[in-house]
Amino acid sequence: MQQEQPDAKTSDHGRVITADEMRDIHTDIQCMITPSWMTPVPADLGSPRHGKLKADQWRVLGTTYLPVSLIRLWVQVKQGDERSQRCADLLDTTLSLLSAITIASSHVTSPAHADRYLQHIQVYLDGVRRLFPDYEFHPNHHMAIHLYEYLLFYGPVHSWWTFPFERLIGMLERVSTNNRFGTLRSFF
Amino acid sequence: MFHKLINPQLRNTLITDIASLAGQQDNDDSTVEILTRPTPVPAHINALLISLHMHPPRQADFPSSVTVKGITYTVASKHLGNSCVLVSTNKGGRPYPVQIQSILRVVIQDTIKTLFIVQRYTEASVSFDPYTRYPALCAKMWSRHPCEDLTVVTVDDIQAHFAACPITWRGSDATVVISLSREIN
Repeated sequence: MQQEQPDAKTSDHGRVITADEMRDIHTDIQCMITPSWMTPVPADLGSPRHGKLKADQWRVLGTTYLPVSLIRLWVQVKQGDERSQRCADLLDTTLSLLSAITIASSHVTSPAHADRYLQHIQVYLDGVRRLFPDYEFHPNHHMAIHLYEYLLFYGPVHSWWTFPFERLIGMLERVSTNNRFGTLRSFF
Repeated sequence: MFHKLINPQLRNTLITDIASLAGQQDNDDSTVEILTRPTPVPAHINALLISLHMHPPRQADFPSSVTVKGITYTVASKHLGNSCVLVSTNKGGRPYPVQIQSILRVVIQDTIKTLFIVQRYTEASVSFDPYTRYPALCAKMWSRHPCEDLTVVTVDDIQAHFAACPITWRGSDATVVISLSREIN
């Protein structure tokens, strides 16, 4: 995010969304009507105040909030406007990733789901390479392609992903007796 | 701690994961076999049931919320977000968004069933809906507010909650409805 109008050709990640667009995203987050079970997303998204987002917040942000805002902001290409064209390309690439996430985290899967997932993730990776030629991919990008096989081998991800364990570990970490070696009375 | 882990009111994706794993056999909404606070059914709801060729009950419970497979559905006056659901009354039919206005628990053939009195959103009056370009997201524009007409749906008709964001698109007021179903077809 930056305060002034970003360069249309900038390839630095984090310098795409303008301050006005960020305000629109904040407004959409505040106006969104959601059920009580859905993980809340910070209304001041992007501010250091809320700290790091958890994995589930990223998923909800990506599959629910961002599509609503980004499609509205970026889908219309203004003729002769280089930034507008680039934002439309960014939108398609971003939504390929979000589509892949939605399909991969579905409670039902099939070879057709896996194929669609692979198609979206490949479009996303190609898009990143085209839009940000200097960007260096990470091992997780490679891993994401292998999720295709895991969907075929193991079925829907919620039956084998480790988020429930992560959650339990988080609860154990917050237990008041955690990390207090030698300060508690022994009962043995 | 275990209760925290499985508490259906947790604001987390885990609840929908657990519901899908643990709620497979818990799909009957008639766990309580008697009406707890029977109240006479208002005339306009009776008229609605008759118009839909349903037998109007004399009395019903009117809970403000019900929990099915770990997910709580609420009347709009209590919690707007919990009242927004996608329903499909035809098997395999395209789901449409509704807002729950009342919840009835009635006795039908010696079994207690839950009925939802809902208001339906109508198609948005826009010539081009950009959200339908990305079908995996299951997002679509609908009218800004649901229409006044009431209709009745059952627990089996409900597919999922949806998130709703009011927007203005090319000068028209609309609501972007995005399905929160974890089952993508």
